[in-house]
This record gives sequence, structure tokens and C-alpha cells, in this order.
Amino acid sequence: MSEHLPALVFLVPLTTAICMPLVGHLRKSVCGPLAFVAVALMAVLSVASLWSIVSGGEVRYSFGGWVPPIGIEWLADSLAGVMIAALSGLAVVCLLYGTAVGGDTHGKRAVPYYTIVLLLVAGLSGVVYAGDLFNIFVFLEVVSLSAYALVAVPGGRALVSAFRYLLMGTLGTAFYLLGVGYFYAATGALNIADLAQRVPDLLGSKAVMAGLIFMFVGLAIKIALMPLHGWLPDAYSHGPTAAVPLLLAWSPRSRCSSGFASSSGSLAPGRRNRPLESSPWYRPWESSRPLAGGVSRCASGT
Amino acid sequence: MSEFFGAALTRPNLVAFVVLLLWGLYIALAHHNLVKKLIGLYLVQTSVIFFLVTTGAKNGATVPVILEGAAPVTADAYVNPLPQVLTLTAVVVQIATLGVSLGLVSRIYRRFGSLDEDRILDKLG
Amino acid sequence: MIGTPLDSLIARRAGSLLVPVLQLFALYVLFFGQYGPGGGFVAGVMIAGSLVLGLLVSGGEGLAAKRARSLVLGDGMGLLILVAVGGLCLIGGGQFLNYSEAPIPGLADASRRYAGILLTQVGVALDVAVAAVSIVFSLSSRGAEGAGDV
Repeated sequence: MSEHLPALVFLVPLTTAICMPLVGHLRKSVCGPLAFVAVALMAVLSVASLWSIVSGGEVRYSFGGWVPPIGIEWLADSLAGVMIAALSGLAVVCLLYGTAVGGDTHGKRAVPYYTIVLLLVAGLSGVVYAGDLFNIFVFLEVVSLSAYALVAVPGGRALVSAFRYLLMGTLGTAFYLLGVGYFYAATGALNIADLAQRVPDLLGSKAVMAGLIFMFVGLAIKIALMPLHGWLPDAYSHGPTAAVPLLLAWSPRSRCSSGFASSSGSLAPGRRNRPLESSPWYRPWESSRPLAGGVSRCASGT
Repeated sequence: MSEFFGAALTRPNLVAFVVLLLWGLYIALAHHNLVKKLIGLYLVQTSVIFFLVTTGAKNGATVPVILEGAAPVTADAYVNPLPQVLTLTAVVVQIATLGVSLGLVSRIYRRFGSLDEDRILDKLG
Repeated sequence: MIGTPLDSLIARRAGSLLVPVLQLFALYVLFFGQYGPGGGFVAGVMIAGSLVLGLLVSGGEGLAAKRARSLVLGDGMGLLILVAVGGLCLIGGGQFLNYSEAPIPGLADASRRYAGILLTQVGVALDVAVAAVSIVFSLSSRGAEGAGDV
């Protein structure tokens, strides 16, 4: 059972999000509580998953039974376990706040709102777990699309902010995909573990360097690194209060940088074949950031 | 410098990719009309997809399905299916982005009565 | 865009003739995907295309519009099929979407994979069709809920 936990953690919010329009069509008032129950279940599962990782080591989950070079792999290591636990805890707090306080989360926008929030949470857990660059891209897009729609929920001024966010964010993901394309063309691998082995020998290659630069710029736009952060203030201040902690906790911020770091970690001479994630100082710092950001945002929202 | 351009001319597909990418970036950032910005964005995404396709292409190769009684299997005779799968997924993602962004733009138009960035900013005050 | 029916008899006739042909061909493409080029994505787009053609020809109030609107309500049904197939594989003891572990009695391993892939393709086709049609609805001025209000 415990080896299926990564898939289950992802499937719970996804399945609930899928059922949400139907449930909302039948009975609108159930949506909020149902979303809350789903996220709470996800939190319980993610804590169980973290427990199994701590006691039994990392879990590698291959979808469809196909193993990595061919299949899609999800990697639940200790970083991912901590991130998922933090993420689902944050989602519980956000949904509790949303159902209790209301605002944009009630009325006729309730059904799309909760669907999008659950999709966002599912996408975030996908980004955290994905073991190869391309699936990180796919889940990045899932998260981004939900985030654009979520920022636009209040209407009015938020629409323009959401459009600016969409413009910059889509450019960012396009650059990221381009970087992935360069990497694949140069190394023939997408799995992060495979890349960590192959990239060190290819560092002289211009294609690999170009891929690294494109991926860095793309992710820098997504995490709003200093000169590329133009979209962030408007999007976060005009978006719905109850959901912005989730946007802020955007674990792509951490996971992307960690995925990036694990491929670029091999750049550092002393650290060959050893992804940066596995170094002990890396974990608490990265995983505490979304939590701290989310909590402070909750505090400022109330 | 000259050998650089010479090398570029032997790969016209990559030149086309660069031109499409830069053109799209220019449209997305320089135009003031929101729909034109979207067109530029679409061009950028299309150029990336074009890059994936053009790196995955192989002359004289066929579908990666081994037919019964086929002669000894050589990797040269078959196309690598992975770039095409990536392309398909990227195309779907692109369509989804386009749908969301067009929906957003139509909401903006209904709210502000204009698609021009400057006029919208004027109305926001 | 999706407003009144077209007033050209030729367009309406041709549309109503084309729609069922398109849908039948979409089904063929869907099932042919097991043997050659084709499959869920293409079939879904073709179904969506046929529905949109019906909408354009017969207007926002006709039978085609009603049919498309009821399809949009089943939003996510395709993904639900995918999750159900995957969950069945989980129950059977394999990984998610490991078709050979699906507990379908009386089928050999290969047939189980076949059935699993076919079912997921049907789900994909349904989902693509619903997504495309709902994009068209939310862009037309009589948009669906959620997109209409500002």
C-alpha cells in the first residue's frame, strides 16, 4: 500500500476536481466542504507518505509499470515528502479560510473556484513528484493555467493583472520547454537522475549551456526572480485573498529550483553525480519558505 | 564570424526557428493590442514546437513499429517517437493556454470595452 | 458568432449531411488508433469539430446546440474514465495505469492491456471533445457559466 501513496496523494485532489462540476450542478453548497475533505484526505495521505519515506527510504513510482528509461517515473524522496506535507497543510488552511470567510469563494463562482483550486493543488503535487524534466513542464503548465484563472476570479482590475501574468508566465514556460528540448537533443535523456549522470561529460557542449540558460530564464520568470518579477505584485494583490497563499507557496519556486539545481548541481566539481537536493542544508531552507510565505500572507489577509 | 554564418546556413530549419522565436517575442512585447500580444505568444510557442519537431526528424526513417518478418532491426530505419510525443503534449498545452487566454481577453473586452492596453490602463486610473 | 441559423439552404443541408459522417469517421479513427495512426486525441478533435459545425450551421438554439450544451455538463467525464481504469489497476495490485493488472476476469494479459488502452483512449477522446466545445461556448457571447459575468 505504502508504495502507491505518491500516486494517491496526486489522485485525490485531481479526482475531486473532476467531479466538482457535476456535484456543483446537483448541489452547489456541497462544493466547499467537499474540496476541504479532499484536501484534508490529501494531507493525511501525504503525512503517511512522508512517514513511509522517513522509515523506508525514497519511493520510486513508475506509471503503468514501465520503468524509467521508457516510462514515466515519480520520485518521492525526502525533499518531495516534506514539500508535499507542507503544501497540503497549506491547502487545508487556505480552504478553511476560504469556506469560513467567503468573499469570492461563494455564490455562483463557487464551482469553478473550487475546481481550479483543487486542480492547482493536484498540479503542484505533480510538479513536486515528477522525476523528469518534461513532466515538470506539463505540471508547471497545469499549475500556471489554474493560477491565471484563479487570479482572474475577482474580476475588474484582477483581469488585467491576470493577463499580464499569463503573458509573462507563458513566455517562461515556453523558454523552459525550449531548454528541455536542447537538453534532450544533447543528451537523449529527460529523467533527472539520468541527466545528472550524463550532463557532466557534456558541459563543453554549447547546446547544453544554451539549454541551461533557457531553463534558468524560464524558471526565473516563473519564480519572479528580481529583474523578471514585473507580473508578481499586481497578480498577488488583486487575486482572491483565500487562494493567494497557494499561489505564493507555488512549490515550483522550490521544486523548479531544486530540479534545476539537481541538473545544474552537477556543474559544481565537488558535487558530481550528486543532486543538490540530497545535501542536508538544502531541505529545511527550501521547504520552510513556502510555509513562511503562506502563513505571513494568511496573517496579512485577515 | 563568417564560418558562423556558414554553419547557420547549412541548417536553415534552425534559422527559421530563431526567426520565428524572435518575431513572436517582438510581437508579444511591442504591440499594444492584447489579441496581437496573444498572437505573438502563440508564435513563440509554435517556434519551440517547431524546434522539437525539427530536431526529432530523421530522413528516410519510418514508424517505430516492428512489423512481422521485418529484416534485422536497425535504429537508423526508425524514427525516435519521443520528440513527437513531447510535441503532441506541448501542442495540447498550447491549445489549452490559448483557450484560457482568449477567455480572459474576452472578459477584459466585456469589462473595459477595449483591447488596447493604454486605454485599459487609462480606465483603471 | 453562435447566434441565428444560417439562411443559406445549401450550407444547412451540407452541414447536416456532414455532421453524422464526421462523427462516424471520428469513431473509426478512435478504434483504428489501436493499429495505426489515430486514437483518442484526433477522434476527440473530430467529434468537437462536428459539434461546432452543427452549432455554426443550426445556430445557438437548435438541436445541435442543446446536444453540445449537455455534453459540456459532462465535463471531466473522460478524465473520470481514465482515473477509473487506473484505479482498477491499483485495486488489482499493479501501479496506476498498469493495464495488465486490471482485475478483468477471463482475459489474457495482452487483451487486458488492449482493453485498458482502448478505454483510456475513449476517455481522452471525450475529454478533448468536451474541452474544445466548452472553449467555443465560453468565447461566444452567450457564454457558459463562470465566463459570462464580470
